[in-house]
Amino acid sequence: MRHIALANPMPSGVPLNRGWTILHVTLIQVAALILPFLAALGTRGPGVLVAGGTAIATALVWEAAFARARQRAVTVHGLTTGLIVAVMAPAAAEPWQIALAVSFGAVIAELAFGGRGFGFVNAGLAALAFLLFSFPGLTPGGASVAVAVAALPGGAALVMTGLVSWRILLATALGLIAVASVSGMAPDPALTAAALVFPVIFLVADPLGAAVTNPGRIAHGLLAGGLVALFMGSGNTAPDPGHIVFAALIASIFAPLLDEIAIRTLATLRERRHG
Amino acid sequence: MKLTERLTDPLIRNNPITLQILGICSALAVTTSLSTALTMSVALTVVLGASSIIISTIRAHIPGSIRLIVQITIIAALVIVIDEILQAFAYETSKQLSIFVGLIVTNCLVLGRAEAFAMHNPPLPSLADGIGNGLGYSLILIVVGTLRELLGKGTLLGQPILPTVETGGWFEPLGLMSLAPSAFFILGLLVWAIRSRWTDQSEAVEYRLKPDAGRAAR
Repeated sequence: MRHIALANPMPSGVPLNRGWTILHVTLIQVAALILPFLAALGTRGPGVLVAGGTAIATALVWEAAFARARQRAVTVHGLTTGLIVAVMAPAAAEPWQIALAVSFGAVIAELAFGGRGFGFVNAGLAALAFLLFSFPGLTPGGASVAVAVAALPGGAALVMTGLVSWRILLATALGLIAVASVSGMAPDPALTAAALVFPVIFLVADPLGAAVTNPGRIAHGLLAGGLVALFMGSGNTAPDPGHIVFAALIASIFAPLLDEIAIRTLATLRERRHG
Repeated sequence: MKLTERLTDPLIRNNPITLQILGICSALAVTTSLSTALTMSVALTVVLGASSIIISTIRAHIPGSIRLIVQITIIAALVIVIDEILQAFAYETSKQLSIFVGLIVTNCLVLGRAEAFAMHNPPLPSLADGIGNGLGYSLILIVVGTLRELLGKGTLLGQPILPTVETGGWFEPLGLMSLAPSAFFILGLLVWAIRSRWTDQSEAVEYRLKPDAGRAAR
């Protein structure tokens, strides 16, 4: 199922976009990532530039090495991986830690599968998970109001071009609110929104890591949002980027299963209706 | 096949873990440190060698319909002996290995060799096959255990090798290496490396992109 969706990155039903290739997807994502990157640079200082440079260079070097070994044309999909990691990476992360994490993310989550569009987890997401698991002392960054606001125009563009599904965004918010209210938590709405906007747009709703059927997308978002609330626990007023990264990772791993369930359910219903 | 080949073949060319993907569960669980990996390797190799020779010796007398029960009884008896010996002489290691020595009984590798080889071959080749497969399993366990302990704690067999930041050195341990997923990643990379070198181990490709699709994917 996924291969069909990936060979043609636009799910059916989305207007425009006929004849697009995966390169267009990457370019639009890069354009959407530039503002949040600049916002992170403005709020956290030149360290973000070092992190970004290291992350992008690492991702592109691996990509070029694999392209060479496989005798394919060199691509630049690593740009998005690098920018996402730069915005979300802990301020205290050293360049070698970033390089190691991005190497892991790019190779294991993406290039080992055959490159962008063939894996099932966003490479930036895998890199961030590696970073936070391997160096537990690091406090993740990315939860600033400036980054959240700067992510909005790009997010809107991604939704309008059909690369990000509004269903996932909405369902993530609903999932978080539902679990938080059932378990009697009182997260601060403004802080929570600020922490969530960037990672939800670029990690949870990533077109290549998220579910691709509409019911699957809603389930995917509900799962991600619910997990964020669950990981956050009642002690915090807003989720850590760490909580969001792990929630996004688990949701991403379950996305193909959710799609499969959605497709089988729809097929069964249709069969029953039309016999 | 000569006896020496029976011994050396399972090391890399027909490795039980990286080619047959057997015994993965224990390979993940006991490789957080080199000492547990070594103990488990010895325990499994002894059980595998001994069970192979015993089962092979009585293979003509085992009724086909209850052969699995007989095999498991023999393997379980050997495992209990090993477990008791470990508890008596290496209590700390035995505690770290927890249930995984006991679980050698259900290790697909042990039962697999008994069923596939020892039931059909004379004792001596069976012994060589059992020991060989045990050594192949041990080789992978030791490689993974070494990498995980070295990168996860900066030590080998508990001796500091890389000076960690905590003790004033430069090495920052990778916390991920102490968690089970890292064993999956290391095993995956090992399988990748081995199959790149010995390409006859690669599985058939299930599907390929059309040349056009490859161009569009750029």
